[in-house]
Amino acid sequence: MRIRKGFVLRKICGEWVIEGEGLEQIDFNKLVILNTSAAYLWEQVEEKEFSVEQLADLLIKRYGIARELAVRDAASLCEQWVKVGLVE
Amino acid sequence: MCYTVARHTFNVEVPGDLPVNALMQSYQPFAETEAKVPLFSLQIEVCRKLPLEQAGGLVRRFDDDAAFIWLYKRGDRYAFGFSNHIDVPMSVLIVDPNFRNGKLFVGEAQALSLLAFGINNSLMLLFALNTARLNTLLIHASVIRYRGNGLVFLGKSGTGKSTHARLWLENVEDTSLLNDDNPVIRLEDDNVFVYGSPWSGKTPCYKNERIKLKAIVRLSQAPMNRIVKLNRLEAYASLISSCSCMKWVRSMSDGVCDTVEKVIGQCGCYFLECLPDKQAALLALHTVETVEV
Repeated sequence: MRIRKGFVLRKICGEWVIEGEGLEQIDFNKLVILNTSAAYLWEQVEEKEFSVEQLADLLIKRYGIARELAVRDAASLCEQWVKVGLVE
Repeated sequence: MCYTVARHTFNVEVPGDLPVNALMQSYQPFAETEAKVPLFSLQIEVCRKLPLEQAGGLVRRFDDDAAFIWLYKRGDRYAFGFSNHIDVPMSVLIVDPNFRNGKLFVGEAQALSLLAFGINNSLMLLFALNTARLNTLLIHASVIRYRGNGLVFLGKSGTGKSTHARLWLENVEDTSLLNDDNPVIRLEDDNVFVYGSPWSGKTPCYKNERIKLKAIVRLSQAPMNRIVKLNRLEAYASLISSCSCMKWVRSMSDGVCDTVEKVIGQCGCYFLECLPDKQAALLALHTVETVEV
């Protein structure tokens, strides 16, 4: 997987928000709010190929959670990102 | 000739063989009498054939209502085509990489309305690009003055911003129109002001005035009238979607996002679902009056 071109992560009004700003995403017309851990993952994999496993590894490393939980969370996050169109 | 809009001065050079007075009529209230260094400059040139090859490769076309804008890029230089028709640009604006100087090429013997369309769009574009980092927002909105304060109505094209503004003028005392299409919001120290501009859509309302911004109301057509106050993030989304900006240029979008965030912290932001009737204006009035004290 990969984050599509043209998205920008910003901290707005105290929240992590994804905006479609590049010409590729000029018609995105949505703001997507990320929680702190999702924003952390986003920053780690921006402009890189990544897999659910890699996201899970990042979560384990940062938050020290069990692998099973990390994989489940990472998979669910990826599913949402794909659904909204942030990731291809 | 220099003009100052929202305290930003720009220079426009119109060749003598064009009907200068008619073209620049809406700019007259903004004519600058003092010698100032302009923030940007637009030069207009009449030509037989538009320099489309010089403009570069077509990046994409933006369609908005009856306005079509073509975006071209050549190296690090952008160019824009303007037309009221989808087929082909009727004028072409070539902008320096730093956006400070623009040259607008117009075809020979063009109708006055088409010339004005090209000039107005070029100046709005250059204005938005050059002020993006200066706590300034060129927005798509109608603005009324109510008891000395500014109320901004946002909405997609065709939503009824002008209609709603007119309902205030007809039904609420002590109201007047400041601008009906493209006003400017500017943050000055800790105050937020809204300014009139030479760009007011179909309504000739070109006021060189500023008023304190009290509230921003996004409108949406509905079968009833209902108003809600927006939380900060909703308010941010509401205002940013009505700002003119080349958001794919990171330094500009950073400036605009930053200004929007500050502006919405300083005024009330609402979402009004409404009918085009008197009650809609009265509901908005009552809400703003009771909440924004």
